[in-house]
Amino acid sequence: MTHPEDTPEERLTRLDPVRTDPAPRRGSTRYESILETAMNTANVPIPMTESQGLPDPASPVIAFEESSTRRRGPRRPRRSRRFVLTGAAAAAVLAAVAVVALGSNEQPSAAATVAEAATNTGEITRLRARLTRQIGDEPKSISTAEIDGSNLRINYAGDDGPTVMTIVGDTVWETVADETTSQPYDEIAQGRLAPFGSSSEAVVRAALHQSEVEAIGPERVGGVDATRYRIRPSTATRAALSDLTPAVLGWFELEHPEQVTEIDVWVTDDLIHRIQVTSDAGDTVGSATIDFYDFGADITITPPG
Amino acid sequence: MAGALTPSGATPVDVFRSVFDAHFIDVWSYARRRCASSADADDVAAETFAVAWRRRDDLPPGQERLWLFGVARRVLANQRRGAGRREDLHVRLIHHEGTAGSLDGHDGGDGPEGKVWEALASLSADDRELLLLRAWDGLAVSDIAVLLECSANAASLRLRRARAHLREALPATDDGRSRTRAGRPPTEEGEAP
Repeated sequence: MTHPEDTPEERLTRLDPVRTDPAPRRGSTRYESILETAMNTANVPIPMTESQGLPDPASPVIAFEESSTRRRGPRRPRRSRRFVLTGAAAAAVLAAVAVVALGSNEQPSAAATVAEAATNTGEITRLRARLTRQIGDEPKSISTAEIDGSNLRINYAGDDGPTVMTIVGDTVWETVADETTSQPYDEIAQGRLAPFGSSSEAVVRAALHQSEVEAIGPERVGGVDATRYRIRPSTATRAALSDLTPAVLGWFELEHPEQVTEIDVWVTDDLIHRIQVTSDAGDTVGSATIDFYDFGADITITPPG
Repeated sequence: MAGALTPSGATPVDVFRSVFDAHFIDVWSYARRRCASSADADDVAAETFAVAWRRRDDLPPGQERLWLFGVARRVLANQRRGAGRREDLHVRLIHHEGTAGSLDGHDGGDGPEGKVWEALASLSADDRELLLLRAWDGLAVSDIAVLLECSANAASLRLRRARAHLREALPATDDGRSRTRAGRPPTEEGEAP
């Protein structure tokens, strides 16, 4: 009940949601569950198969979030994904790379051509990329990235309008409407992004693991003639993708390999110019398209002024 | 590491458990006030304490609460960056849907509390956060300054402006007393909660 003598601040106090929805009691199941989750997931990568939904590539640094799907019924503890490149994950990546045989045929197979392009693209440290997401009937979201090794500048449509995220060294800046905030990179709970070029190589090589690769034909991409290849993943392919870290997968809308139906790759001049990942989440089909351009451009990422 | 004894003889797990017990309600409440549901607040609290567990050696003795608030603030900010991921308080306010009715079952936009929500929604995010840190989280101006990484003077000045903006945003007929008070020199800026 509002009293006419109340100050605005006192009236704000009455709106406090905690007045009607207090914290879990000490010793309650929820209380203990939150403690357990905090202490058990801090450094443990979470199996990708437990995740659902499609993350948002328009903001790749946060692309590792779990689904926005509302939980119904009894709540189970959320298991945060952590992005520590464990020895096991590293070994899996190496294994995925090792199993991509280029073959002994004199004519390089479609898989070999794509693999070689992946290798060459992995060596590129400076380039630009455009990331386009389309989920169901939602409007496309497009973000652009300038990449200089591990340093990045990403433009995307954030909640508060056009947003620029700059990552230099161990600091992340976010600029929205001329206001810039910063924080240490390692405090971003969702983790780091791996370098783009090497991520591309790792993803494509994992995608080639025990998959079917078909040359679709020539297409124009970004003003150049390219050849389009279609990769149809097998169960083993998805497992190889699952072994990659979210830091790598986050670039390509691939945090949910079990949902991936096709990966198309456009190659020209022995470089990858586009990757398109199509996923089927059951009720929604989505795609993420990543265009690569300005290979080797003179790009230097500096903190916002 | 987790099993080693601290100088007091307690294991790090014991120490962390005591920190959790001491600050869980504050951290969870801080999160709940900025999330759409208690389930989301659970997630934010878990993530905040996961960071705290990972960085338990960095927890400043005696300042754990503010340190945890700082982490929670960043966790929330990261989550907001996921466009459309959560219908949190921030988003609801922006879309003028953040009436008490939609959150907590109080009266909606036409009632007196709905008008306060509307006024709150019309403020800048900075003004809103300052007011809520004070009114909801009960932080002293000096604590707000630490959390927002500014001087106490700056926090006090910003809070004073935010209050003025809120008074201006409230309908005149609904807040005659507040408007009268707005003309007086503020006296509570440096008060502890």
